[in-house]
Amino acid sequence: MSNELKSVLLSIGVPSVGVLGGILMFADSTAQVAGFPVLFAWLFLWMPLTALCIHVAWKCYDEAEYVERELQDAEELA
Amino acid sequence: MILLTFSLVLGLALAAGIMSRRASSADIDDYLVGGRSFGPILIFVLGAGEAYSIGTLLGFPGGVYAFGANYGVWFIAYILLAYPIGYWLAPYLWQAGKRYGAMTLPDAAGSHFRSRPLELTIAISSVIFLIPWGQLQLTGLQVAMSALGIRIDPTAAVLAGAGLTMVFLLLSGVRAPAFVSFVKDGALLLGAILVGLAAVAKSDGTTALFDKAADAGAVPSTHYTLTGSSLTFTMTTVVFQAMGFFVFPFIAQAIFAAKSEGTLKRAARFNPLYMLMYPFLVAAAFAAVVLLPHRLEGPASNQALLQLSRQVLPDWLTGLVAGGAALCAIVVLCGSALGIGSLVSRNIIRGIPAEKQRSWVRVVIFAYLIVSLVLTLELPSLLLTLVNTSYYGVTQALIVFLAMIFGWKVRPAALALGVIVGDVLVLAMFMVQEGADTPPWWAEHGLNIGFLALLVNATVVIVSRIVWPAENPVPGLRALRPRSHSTRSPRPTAKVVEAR
Repeated sequence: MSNELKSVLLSIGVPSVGVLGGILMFADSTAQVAGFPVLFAWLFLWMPLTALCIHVAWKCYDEAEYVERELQDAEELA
Repeated sequence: MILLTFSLVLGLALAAGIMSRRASSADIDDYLVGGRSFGPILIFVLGAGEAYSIGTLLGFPGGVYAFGANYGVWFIAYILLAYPIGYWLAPYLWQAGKRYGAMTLPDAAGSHFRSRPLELTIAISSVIFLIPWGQLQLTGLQVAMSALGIRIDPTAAVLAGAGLTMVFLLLSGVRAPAFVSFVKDGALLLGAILVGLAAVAKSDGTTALFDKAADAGAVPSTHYTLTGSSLTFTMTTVVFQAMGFFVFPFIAQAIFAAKSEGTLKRAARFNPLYMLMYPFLVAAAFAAVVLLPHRLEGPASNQALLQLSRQVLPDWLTGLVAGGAALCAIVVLCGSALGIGSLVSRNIIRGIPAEKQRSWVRVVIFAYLIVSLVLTLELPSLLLTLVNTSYYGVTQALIVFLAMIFGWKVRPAALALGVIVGDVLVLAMFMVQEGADTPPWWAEHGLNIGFLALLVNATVVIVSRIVWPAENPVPGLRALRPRSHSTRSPRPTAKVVEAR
């Protein structure tokens, strides 16, 4: 599996399953989290989680390669 | 007091706009894409500046106030899922921009597929669907001003808003909205958080706030849950709009302005965190159900946040919130105007020399602002019904960019046909949906019509791949600059550290 695929699965796949799955799961629930309807609370939870998924994808699968590309581009310019 | 802090926010924005001049030069690529030089912070602020329009600060709480979860869930979820998609997609669009010297998305597609008709198709469909977008901002400005209860004539406010937009764009092109966004985002975040906190404090905590809202008329079936066709609508809209977010012309400017692909990826990590203002807006919207003396109906529900602000915050803070709202409208209008200006003078009219383009862009922007003004003042409702089609229409170009990335063996003519079929279908379905004699089965299916059109558009392209494949296909961006397949150490090498 290429780094790009791993990065896509982690950064797009995980949040999509989390967000869309949660909407389906809680669609007709009247539960509340600190007063907020659970649908909203679930989305709020996924804001930091999505940022975390993207961050980990960057650190593990993307950063080294994109830093190298930036160097290549800088050399071409010079 | 309202007027004083309101003017202060706008004054600060003007100062930021003037400051943005300092680094600018007279070249067209500096004017439109900031000379491809923006670092992660400026890219983050410009991206957030263009993405969160007056629809976020006023329209979102208004929608949640009126429709609860039925409105709020798709609105939050699509932006949340757009960011991961952008993390993957935006660097490819940047790569095309760099490779072809592109400053607009049609530039990139036209050069990649060496097809003038494809360039023209995307450019024209973007321009058509962006006209209601600009008008929406000015109408939002009108709403904001009339909710404040101060003596500013909404017509004068709209004129001033369009005027300020023109001033910013004359100053320094895309740099102006980027710099003004610092003030705009500051005021927006502060405003949203303060109104939310004050509403919670006034209601004795969040639990009590939502309980009171339920008692005061927030209906469980709409405000707390999603049922039947509204669940279908939410799911299809979230998927569709998340995919389309990054092919919007003004988001594309924020992509092309980046210094490198890595810059875009670095900045993308922080985008979902900006969204943490939404809990405050949701709390404010539910509080408005309880605290506002009169129930707001129809378009007036857009006034919910500002009316609430006047009840729970001191006047000078309401002025700050309103200033933030006005800047949201102005920054987004800057983005759409610059988008239209560059589409018309680079892609629709052919062969304007580079040194003349800047003047052309300004003339087109001026014309666009005048048209938006006239429409806002004379035909306020006509285009506002059409604004929903903006997303439906612009997103149809996504297929073209996917073909560009993956190097599908399709002809540019087939891609253009797919876009045209998608756009025409969207408008036709929209007429049926808004028309007087909508068949009942149609009203109940709940599917997002843009999503349906995108499926048909993709089908056209896939069929063409089978029956009429390209003889000499252009390699995709992934093949033109391949990513390595080896698993690398995530730690940068010594050389890399030194160079940074």
